[in-house]
Amino acid sequence: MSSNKILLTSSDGESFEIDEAVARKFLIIVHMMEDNCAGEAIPLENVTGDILSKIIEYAKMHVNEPSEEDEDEEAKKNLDSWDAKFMEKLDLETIFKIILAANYLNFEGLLGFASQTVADYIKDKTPEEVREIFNIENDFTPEEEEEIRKENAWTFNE
Amino acid sequence: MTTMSNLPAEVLEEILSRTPVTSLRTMRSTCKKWNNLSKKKIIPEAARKQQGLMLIKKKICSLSFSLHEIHKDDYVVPCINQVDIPRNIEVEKIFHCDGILLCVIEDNCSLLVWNPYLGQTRRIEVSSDADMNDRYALGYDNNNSSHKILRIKKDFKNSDGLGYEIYRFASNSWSLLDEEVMKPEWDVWSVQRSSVSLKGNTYFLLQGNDYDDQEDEEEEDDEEYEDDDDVLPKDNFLLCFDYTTERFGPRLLLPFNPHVEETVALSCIGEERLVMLYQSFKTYKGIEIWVTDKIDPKAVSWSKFLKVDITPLTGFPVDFYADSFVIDEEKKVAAVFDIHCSYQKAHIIGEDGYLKCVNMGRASDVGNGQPLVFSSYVPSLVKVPVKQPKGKRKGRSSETKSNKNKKGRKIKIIGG
Repeated sequence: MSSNKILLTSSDGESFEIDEAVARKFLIIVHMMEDNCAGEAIPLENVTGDILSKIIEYAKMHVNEPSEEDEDEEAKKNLDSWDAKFMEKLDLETIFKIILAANYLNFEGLLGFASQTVADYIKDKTPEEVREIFNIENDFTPEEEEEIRKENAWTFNE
Repeated sequence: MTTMSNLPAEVLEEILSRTPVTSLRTMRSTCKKWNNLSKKKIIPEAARKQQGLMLIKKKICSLSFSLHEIHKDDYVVPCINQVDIPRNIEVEKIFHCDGILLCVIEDNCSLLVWNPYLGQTRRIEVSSDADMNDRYALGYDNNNSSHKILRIKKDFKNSDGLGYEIYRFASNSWSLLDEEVMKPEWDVWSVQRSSVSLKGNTYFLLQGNDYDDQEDEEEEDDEEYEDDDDVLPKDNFLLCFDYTTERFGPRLLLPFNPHVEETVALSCIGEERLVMLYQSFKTYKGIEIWVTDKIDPKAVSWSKFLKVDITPLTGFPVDFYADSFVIDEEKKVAAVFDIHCSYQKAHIIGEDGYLKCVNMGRASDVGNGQPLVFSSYVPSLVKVPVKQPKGKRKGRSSETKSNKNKKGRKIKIIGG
């Protein structure tokens, strides 16, 4: 594994020095590195420092992503547990920002995990509760809402 | 302030696609944007589960069956639930293809074409000589990129007593098929479950009705059976109706040779393969399950999935007659239902033989009747073809319903 350091700069001027292996998790950076001269800092215009630091923290834990064939159950469980704690500490606002940033950076692993976390918020909630959590306006008329309910009455119940 | 509504569409899709199927209704009820987005992709969970559909007392019921956890002690008992069909109509028969259901309703006089995942329906009237013995099948014409419905009915003017009609969605009309072209040699009164639509075409399981020949060959069959390679399944085969050419294909051989009284059941796994169950009790008592490697209207090749001894010694009840079944390829197990037990129990079999018996649940709104037709259903995003407007009205907004036209042909378009 290369011990090259990559310098990243957030939109609000914070600098982060990380191992190349970690930086390669962000596919957008992989492309930039190919175009960029070595040694220059890579500017990330769409990510603020606080979010970037969280993302880097996650990336560092996942730099040695266990492959599917890996039999190390213990290691997987530990990683899952770390992941859960990582998300627990964050509020929804921050998670959204992380999702947007992970999308911009093209960091698939975190994008998937954070999306799942948000999706889990929706489980077992009523539409009203969901709208409240996500600050969404109800643009259905009462008739339309009833229609949707009926149309989806088939959803295979557990 | 970052809120859900500010997220770019692909990110929102990423999140919404991870909600479980049970939250699908909630998700769609939240706002119009989510409703529309949810119809662009099948939620992976819905695609992954094995769904079975059946009719109980004229209501469509679904059985969500996952054999993945079958070895565990906390295995969740599968439960039969009623599927709420639009306007609560009574359904006489169901067929399906590509995730679209074709329901025969209203005393066999009408058809309802329905994609439950998208919530789209369309109604089609059958011509005046509709009869409860009519058989239907749904398929897809690749050349014209449109769906078609095949109707097989009694027609004593024809030599084999059967008539064939096709409904083409492209032209919104029925037309008779040329009798000369047909003649698939079969008994149209065979049981409901004997057809499966796969990849846009329908495969019919035909069980021989040459009873005279069968008697003469009773003796010979036993001997022939020992030498599997030489056995030609004369009386049992598959026949495919190709909707693109509007023809039946050649006989497709089965990998076994059932005697007339032995049980054979046809189903499909996923969207690309047929699976068949054969319960033999003449030469040996066992169940074999075979899956297709390749299948198209003109040829088929099979491989054996499971073969299990089912004498009472192995744990099977005496007088067990397999009716329907579900398989799990990864775990190499199958759940088999007994024709006499109305789906109260499922017997689980695997490579090691008989594994266990599982009691099935039934939701309280499901009737007590005997389920008919268990068939494997995979949800899809295939749109129900809409009736092409004959003149004035072009597009339609997603939530409006159109009126009945004067001839009483109801045209209902729901969803977009």
